[in-house]
Amino acid sequence: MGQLFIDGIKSFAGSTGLARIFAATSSSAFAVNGIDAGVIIMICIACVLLYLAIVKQFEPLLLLPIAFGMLLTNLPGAGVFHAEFFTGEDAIKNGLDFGKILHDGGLLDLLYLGVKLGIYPPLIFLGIGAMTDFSPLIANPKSLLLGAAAQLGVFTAFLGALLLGFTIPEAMSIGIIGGADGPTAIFVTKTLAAHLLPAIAIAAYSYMALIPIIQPPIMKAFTTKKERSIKMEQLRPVSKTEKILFPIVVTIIVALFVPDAVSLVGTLMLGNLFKETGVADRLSKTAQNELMNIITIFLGVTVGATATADMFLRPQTLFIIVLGLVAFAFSTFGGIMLGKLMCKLTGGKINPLIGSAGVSAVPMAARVSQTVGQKENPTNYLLMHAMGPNVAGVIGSAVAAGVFLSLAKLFI
Amino acid sequence: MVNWGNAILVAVLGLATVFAVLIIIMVAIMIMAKIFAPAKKETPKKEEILNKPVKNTVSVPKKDIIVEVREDTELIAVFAAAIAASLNTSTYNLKIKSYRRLGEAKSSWQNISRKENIYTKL
Repeated sequence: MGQLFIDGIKSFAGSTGLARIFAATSSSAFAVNGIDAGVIIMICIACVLLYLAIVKQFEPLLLLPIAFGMLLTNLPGAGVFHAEFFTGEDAIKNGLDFGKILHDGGLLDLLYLGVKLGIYPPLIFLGIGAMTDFSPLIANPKSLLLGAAAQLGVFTAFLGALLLGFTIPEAMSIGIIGGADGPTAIFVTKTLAAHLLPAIAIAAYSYMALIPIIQPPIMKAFTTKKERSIKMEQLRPVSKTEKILFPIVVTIIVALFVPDAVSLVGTLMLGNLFKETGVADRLSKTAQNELMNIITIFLGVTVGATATADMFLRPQTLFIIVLGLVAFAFSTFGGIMLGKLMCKLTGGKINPLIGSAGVSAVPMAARVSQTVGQKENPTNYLLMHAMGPNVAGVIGSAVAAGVFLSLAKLFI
Repeated sequence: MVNWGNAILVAVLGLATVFAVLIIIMVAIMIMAKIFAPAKKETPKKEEILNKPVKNTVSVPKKDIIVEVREDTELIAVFAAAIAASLNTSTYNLKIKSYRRLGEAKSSWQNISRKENIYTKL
């Protein structure tokens, strides 16, 4: 009787997470003197991210679920997520074993299928479309050029990643961080380099939150005081017919030229059509509120859950974080330089500061243009002008993603 | 080992495609604007704000003579309500013939409220 009691206690103690941390098997890559240091480091990183999300409010709607997913996945023995189902050797060789995932998978394994199969990012785009007003872009179509120029960072970071020894598909996934668009980055990465997903997603979302710190020094360095104080003419009013036709026309054009971008651009435009027609008000509200929130939770938690110690604690993660910053900086630079060119060509009618808003982080990048412009001239209101390149950047980065996805087929 | 020729080709081709697709969209929007943009009514009329049936007249400095008349019923409704409230009368007694923006907002209170207004719309 006494022996049974002691055995029971022993077996319970052996199955706890604590036992797994302090009696790490030699199979763990981060075992130090029998202690699984990897798990402890990852739990600390998760807590730091939780701090940043809660106290510093860095993109809390995403960083909070990501950080918590990271915490859940690294708690030893919890078994809510099995990275090996998705990025293990078997999975890479023979494709996903859905039967195994459904049968043995934990909660987050099942939810992660939405990321792996490319379901969540387009649904998020549906919500973004339903929330976005494209009229500043329709009123000033030249903004699209700025949205394209601000994709410069995507391709610069792509080359940078190759320099640091990443493969072409990996470099493409890293480059897309420069599009400053979380769902797009996740969409490309899950297809081309799923093992880098946590690092890329965390880099993309953290830098988006840091845009007000990253962009202004670059904007000021490459523009003159005179250029920054340019006031722009008021935008023309846009008719309802134009607003309704815009999503339809864009979808058709993108589908014809970059079919790989259609699942992102198509859903973005469908959401926008819900909003602009006014006949599908209920759908528009659902897309931008309930659906978007539900998907954000699923996406955040599962992307966080992919950040296990052996996936995340690698030198590549540091490279990705540096390259992400390079990507953001070059995107800002590209937008500003084309803005300057357009300013020259139009005889000073365009304020180059709106160029930096071509990185697609909506509406932060546009707000930064407004703030920097207003510092030069407190009566200057650039916000609506900057919204044009800003929403153009969303389309631009989705197109860049499509281009990468189609070109990657040549290299895999 | 990465083939740098291919890599640079991918980068250049990628950026060029992004530009090409967005330029095509730009042209499409411009064509759309030609056909469907709301017609601009630019008939410069010199009129003054009149406040007909009532005895109170809003005195407007001479330089504020109105230049441009546009159709913007919502904005006019807001003006009418604001003027009616400040003159303590009914909107039925007002007749707004035209309006014009009076330069830039000078007071920092106005600037701050305008900024707040814009930000809350995003």
